Amino acid sequence: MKLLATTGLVSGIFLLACSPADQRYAQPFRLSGPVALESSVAYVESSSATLFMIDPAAATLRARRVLVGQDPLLPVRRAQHDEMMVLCRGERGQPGVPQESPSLRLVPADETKPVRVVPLGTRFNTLSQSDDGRFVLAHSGPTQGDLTADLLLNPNEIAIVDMDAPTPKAVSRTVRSFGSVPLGVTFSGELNLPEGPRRLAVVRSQGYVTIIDLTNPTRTEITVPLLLPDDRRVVTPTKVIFESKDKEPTIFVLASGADDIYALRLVAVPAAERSADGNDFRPVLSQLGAGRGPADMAIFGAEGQPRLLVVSAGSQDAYVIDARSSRSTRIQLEAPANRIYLFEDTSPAQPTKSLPRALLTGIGTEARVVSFLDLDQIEDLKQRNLETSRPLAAPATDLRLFPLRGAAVLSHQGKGIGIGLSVIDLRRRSISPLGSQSLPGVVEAPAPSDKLWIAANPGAGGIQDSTGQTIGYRVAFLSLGDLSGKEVRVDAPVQQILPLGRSRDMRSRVILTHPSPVGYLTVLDGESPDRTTARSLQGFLLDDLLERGVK
Amino acid sequence: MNRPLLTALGFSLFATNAAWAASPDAALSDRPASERIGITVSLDAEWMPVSDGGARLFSEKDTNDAQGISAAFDVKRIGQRGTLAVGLGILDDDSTSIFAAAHRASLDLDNYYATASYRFAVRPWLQPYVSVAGGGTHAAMTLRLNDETTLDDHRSSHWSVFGRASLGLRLATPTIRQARGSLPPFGFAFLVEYGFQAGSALALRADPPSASDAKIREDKLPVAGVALGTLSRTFPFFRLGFALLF
Repeated sequence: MKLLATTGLVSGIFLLACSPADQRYAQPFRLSGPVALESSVAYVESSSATLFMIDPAAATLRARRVLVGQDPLLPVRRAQHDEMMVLCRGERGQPGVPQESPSLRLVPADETKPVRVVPLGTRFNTLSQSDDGRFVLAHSGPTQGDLTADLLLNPNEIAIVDMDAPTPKAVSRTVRSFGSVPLGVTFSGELNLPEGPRRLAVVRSQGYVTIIDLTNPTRTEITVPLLLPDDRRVVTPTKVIFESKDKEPTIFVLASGADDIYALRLVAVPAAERSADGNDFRPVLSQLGAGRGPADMAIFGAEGQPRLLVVSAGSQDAYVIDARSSRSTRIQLEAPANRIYLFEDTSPAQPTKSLPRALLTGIGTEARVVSFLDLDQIEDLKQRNLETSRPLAAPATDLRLFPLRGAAVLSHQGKGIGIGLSVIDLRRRSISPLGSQSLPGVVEAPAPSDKLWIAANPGAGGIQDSTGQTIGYRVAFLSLGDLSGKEVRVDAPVQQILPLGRSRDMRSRVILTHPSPVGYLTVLDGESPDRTTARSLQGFLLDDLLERGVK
Repeated sequence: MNRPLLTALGFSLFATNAAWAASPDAALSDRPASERIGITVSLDAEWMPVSDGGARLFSEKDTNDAQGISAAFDVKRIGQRGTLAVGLGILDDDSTSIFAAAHRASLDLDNYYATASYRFAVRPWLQPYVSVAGGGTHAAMTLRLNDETTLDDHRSSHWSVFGRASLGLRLATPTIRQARGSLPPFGFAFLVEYGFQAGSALALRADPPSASDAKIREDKLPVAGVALGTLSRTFPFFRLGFALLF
């Protein structure tokens, strides 16, 4: 007995000598994405601060893993670049966990290129970037992330990064506030400013906009209130566009809660009036009347004759405004419109003349027609340049314009009517309804593909065999050339469709993502989508899990 | 205290009592163990530290445990007090854990091995020994994902080989003989062993679920699973055993 007791005691010591349980696999997976790059797709798993990049052209489907900074929040593709940008909020430190500064990580799709790190001084939670991906602005947005997690947060602090710099650096500053915070940022193209062509960023805040010179980010920003101090209306800028062809460029601001369009003409500041770090331009504000409740605007017209086209859903009309003289021309519409889609093409009346035109729609309204507006000589011909379509099967919920293919695709809201899509021929102005089981989402494949990919609503699209067992799910595609539709059967419900560009083997592919807590996708051939050439990758979040842990 | 330890200690207590009181006909003998035929059947419990970080996927504890049974046969006496024995054994090591806060990871390791040991009777009841063993481990891994969208478990199975060397102590009771002679002479022993295992790493994969129906299985798209990484099978171990000696 003594021997047994001794042995038991020794064994107990052996067991009790163990340290507390290791928690490396305790953290839940927190997956963001997918994000489509040129020919690959990327996800970010936040718990392990890992970016997973999958090349569908690889002989063996496998996720490439790249470690990014701690607490990665926002994976986005850098515009016009085959590169991921991941905003990492860093680690503020805790026992056993070292502190890490916030940063912006740039991960090229090409694994031979290095990952770049741009340190940020602040735990921002939103990224905005210019259309060409050159300028990136990090700021604290109103919805992303947990703003209350920080002991001190300056929501008006921003960081500007010029990605084309040899070593990109973040220039931080705080924009002047009138009580609001940045809601979004719009970047201009090259503008003819007094000291030479440069680019601007316009930060939208409730009640005002802030203009920042991106080439000279340390210069004083210009804040333009949209209301007089005693005006208690709530005006929120929703869209900013730039007229860049003029000698004195103009910024147009569309705002909800206002019936006017705000025009900011950028005029030169005389050298004698400039301060040491002052701007070479200043905005001159004018307000352009545009009906009731302007909802969308666009610029058209030849150089030196810019015109602003505005649709106002509240008054069911469109306005063409001379940006210089503020003279406006009203066009009465048959149904309210809140979206403008500019395109240049022929029309049934002008079959040989490719001229600027606009398609006007009321997305999310009860409107059952779309309007075609010929913009050439619109101020003279006025109402005669308007053509209204025949009634649609149901009000539109979305519209995708494919100007190079002379087509637009409308998604319908019509529950129970069996029609989910209509294809508009922009040249003939005909509308072809397409049948669909459900209300689909439409995704365009990058050129030169002519396919539109159509995903069923979540929960729809399952195929049952004679016994009622689900044997697959369908995804459909439409060739815009001949409007022929086909389907491909896959093994799991489709969450997202990501048509990609051409890979190094000169073939394009389409990624279908499926619901799974550990990652599940299917790769289809983009040119000849077919089940026989499809293949899947499942569980890629588990890749090398034993070697790396979750945290 | 965990299951195998309780099992080993409980069994030891039971067996010791049984040795003394199981049968009114039983009588302890101080005759040497050589009267027995030299077969040892042992219930084993084993503990090994979780030294490979990857093993944390399957176990939140710092020590893994295994249970098994082994049998050995004394093949040769060496000198007056030495004995060479060979044997076979099986050891089962199951571990399950929750990972990523929601999903279940299980690893079922079945170890099959052959042993050779040399023991030396310092006293008839006190027999230190050295042992070497070699064998294979069959690993069956299951990842059960806690998600309504998941079709089935991710499973895979693998083999690895290992070799072991250990030092131990066998504490044997005197031979028990039944007066009526219905049973051969027998005894009990308590084994304490410490050793080291060197094994080839287990290369684990998470292969997607496949349908049981062949027709459906053939219809499925080709699916690539992923490599989970390797799991070391090299570690020190501590073993307790309760043996019946014939």
